[in-house]
This record gives sequence, structure tokens and C-alpha cells, in this order.
Amino acid sequence: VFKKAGLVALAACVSACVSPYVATPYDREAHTVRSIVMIDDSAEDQGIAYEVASLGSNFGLIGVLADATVQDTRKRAVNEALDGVGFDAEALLERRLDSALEGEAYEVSVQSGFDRPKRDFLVSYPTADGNTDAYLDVVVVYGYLSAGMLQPFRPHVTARVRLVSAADPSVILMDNVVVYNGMASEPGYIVLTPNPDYAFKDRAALLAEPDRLAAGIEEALNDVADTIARLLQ
Amino acid sequence: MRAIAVAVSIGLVSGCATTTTPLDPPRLVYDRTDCAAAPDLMNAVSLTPRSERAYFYVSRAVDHATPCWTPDTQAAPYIVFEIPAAFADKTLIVGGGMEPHRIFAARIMTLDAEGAPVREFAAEDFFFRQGLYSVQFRPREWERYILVTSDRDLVGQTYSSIHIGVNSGATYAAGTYVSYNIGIDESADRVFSHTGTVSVIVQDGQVD
Repeated sequence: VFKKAGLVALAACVSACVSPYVATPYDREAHTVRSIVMIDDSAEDQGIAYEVASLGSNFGLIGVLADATVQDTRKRAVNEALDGVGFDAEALLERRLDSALEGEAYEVSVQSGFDRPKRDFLVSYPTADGNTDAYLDVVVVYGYLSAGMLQPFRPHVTARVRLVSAADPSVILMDNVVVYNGMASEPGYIVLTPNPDYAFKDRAALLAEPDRLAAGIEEALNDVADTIARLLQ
Repeated sequence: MRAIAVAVSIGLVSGCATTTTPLDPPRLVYDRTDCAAAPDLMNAVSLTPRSERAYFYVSRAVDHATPCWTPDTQAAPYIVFEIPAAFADKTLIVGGGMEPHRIFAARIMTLDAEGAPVREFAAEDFFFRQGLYSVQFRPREWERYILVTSDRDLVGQTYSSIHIGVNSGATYAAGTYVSYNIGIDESADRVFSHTGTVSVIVQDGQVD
């Protein structure tokens, strides 16, 4: 609990102290990127299944403790259901990004072998091979989110996306945040509204139809991937 | 549980009680006949803050009294903004504001110093960003003004969205204050309109 409280305090401090987010829009006239390498390990193995203003979170320390157990148990059950239908968020996202970017006349390939223990952009990028114009670095959080008690769970995706020059990775060609059914937002964040067809009233409903559970996240990932491709038109 | 029920009740009551301002409906027809042939650059709204700041917000209402022009055969209201002279480190978000029932149907283009069009943003360039149907761009060297007018093709279309968030509050129960958070999950239909609000956010990457 103290660890959790510490993290909350740290997050509050960080959000109060850091510079506001400023996106970098892609300028088609200034850059001539045609060949893009996508960096893999874009998504965590497990999705979220989080209720924000939950009942327990309104009842002090004991409530917070109980709430953490409820949230963890729900998350585990949802991920087991997704595993049961072979859901793979990273593969789905990369496949959709590949087709959406190729639709914009980019040559796309995926480079594997990366690991993101901190779920952040890469610190260093591969050495350019002469055939690659830019690296596409995407970090995704996905799953289900409920605003709170008695509110439905809807698919959620937050994608931080960055296109860097392969010749000089310190040159950021595009930087954006795309949020599908998000709660926190800054002025530069792109906000996508969720499909109302994928709303689950509670944990039991989430687990009752695993295929539909997976389809809701897949649609959210597709929407986000298509948006990223539009940002690079 | 009882405290929460009370809190929910209070939240709902206060939510209803504060809705006293009449909501502006979308304007789907624009029929002024006294419009200029070209936008007036002399009255452009400055986007340069008095002192450097990370975010600079500028917002203007678009109503029936707003200047209008006739870009083709039909009139439309417009607002011209003047891009800061020190534009190199600026990122601009420009768009129509989301109000309870309407969104200004923004059509956005940049102009050079003489008022000639430099670039016009296509429908694919628009996204929803924190309450704005907007484009985001960095000004180019020869761009001096931003012209925002209404897009007749967009007017009348409906944007349906779902918004989630948390309302926080406190109440006095059993001799003590109880704070609470309530999740909200709201659906809304908004119609693109010839009138509404145009906003610009100037983000300065060099200021903390």
C-alpha cells in the first residue's frame, strides 16, 4: 500500500513538474521517408482490466488494499480469457500497421530482438543499413477500462508513437500519442472514441464471451494503427 | 455504501442544478449576403503572447456577427489568426471547439503575407484533440496567417462520441468529511455547425 501511495505521489509530482507534452507533426514536404522499419516489442504481454473510481478506492486504506486484490484478480482472469482465444496484441498491431503504412506507399519491415523492460521508447536504435529511412517506435498499453463503479468496461489503447531518422536517430520526424477511450489527456493527444458495441457491464460479462472480448481490443488496435498511418500521410 | 449512495445523490443533484445556461444549437444554414470577396487580414487575431509561455490559448466565438467571405458562390464566416513572427519553435493546434450540441465545422488553410493560400488541410489531417476538432502543424517560413472558415461539406454531419472520466467531491456524513470519486461514462451526439468556437493552442517547445 505504501509503495502504491508512493507511486501515486511520485506520479503527481512528475505530472506537476515536467514540461507539457508537445507533439511533433510529420511534415511531408520536409521529409522523404519511404522505407520504415518497425521496432518490435510494442505491447506488453498482458492487457489491463482496470476500474478507475472503484468502490474499494473510495473506502480509505482498507478499501485500497481490497481494491488492489479485486483489480489484480480481474486482470488475471481477463488475460486468461484472451490467452484462451489466442489473442496477441503485438502481432495484431504490427500486422495492421504494416498494411496501413503500405497503403500509404511505405515499404515496411519489422525488426525484432528488442526488449522494453520500462515500456518506453528505445534508448538507442540499430545502426542504419543504408536501406532504411526511418524507425517507427510504438509503445502500447491495451485492455479494458471502466470509469468506475456501475460503469461499463470498454476497450482501451494508449499508443505513444515516434518516427526517428535512421541516419540520425536523435532527429525525431514525428511524435504523437493516440488514446482510444482514454481518461487522461493533454492538448496534443489524439483522442479516439470507442465503439459502443463493445461495452461489458462487469467482470462476469467480460469473461462470458472471450471472442468478443478479444474483438473489442482488436478493433481498438486497428483504429490506433490506422490513425498512426494517417499521421504519416 | 450509504455514504457513497449519498455522494452519488449529491453529485447528481448538483449536476442538474448547475445547468442553467441555454445551449447554443448548431447552425446548419448560412445565408448572409453582405460578405467580402476575400478575408480581411488587417484584423487578424495575434497568436503572439506578451511573454513567452509553454502554452498560449486563443479562442474566438463564431456567430452571425462574425465577418464573412464568399470563397466560391456561397458565404461562410471566417477568423484570421496571425502566426507569431518567432515561429520556428512553435507547434500549433487549430480547430473547432466541441460544445454540448455542436462543433464548429472548421476548414483551415494558411496564407502568405499577401493573403494568398499556401496550404489547405484535408479532412484526413483532422483529429479530435482534447475538445478540439483540429489540425496540428508547424508553420513554414512563408506562412503568415491562418484562415479558419466553415466547411459547408462538413456542416450537418453528426459526431457521436463516448467520454469517460472521474468526478471528485466530498460530503459531510456521520460527523466527518468523506471524499469520493465517481466514474462517469457519457455518450453525446454533436452536429458540425457554421457557428461555434474556434481555438488555437500555440505550444512553445523552448519554454518549460
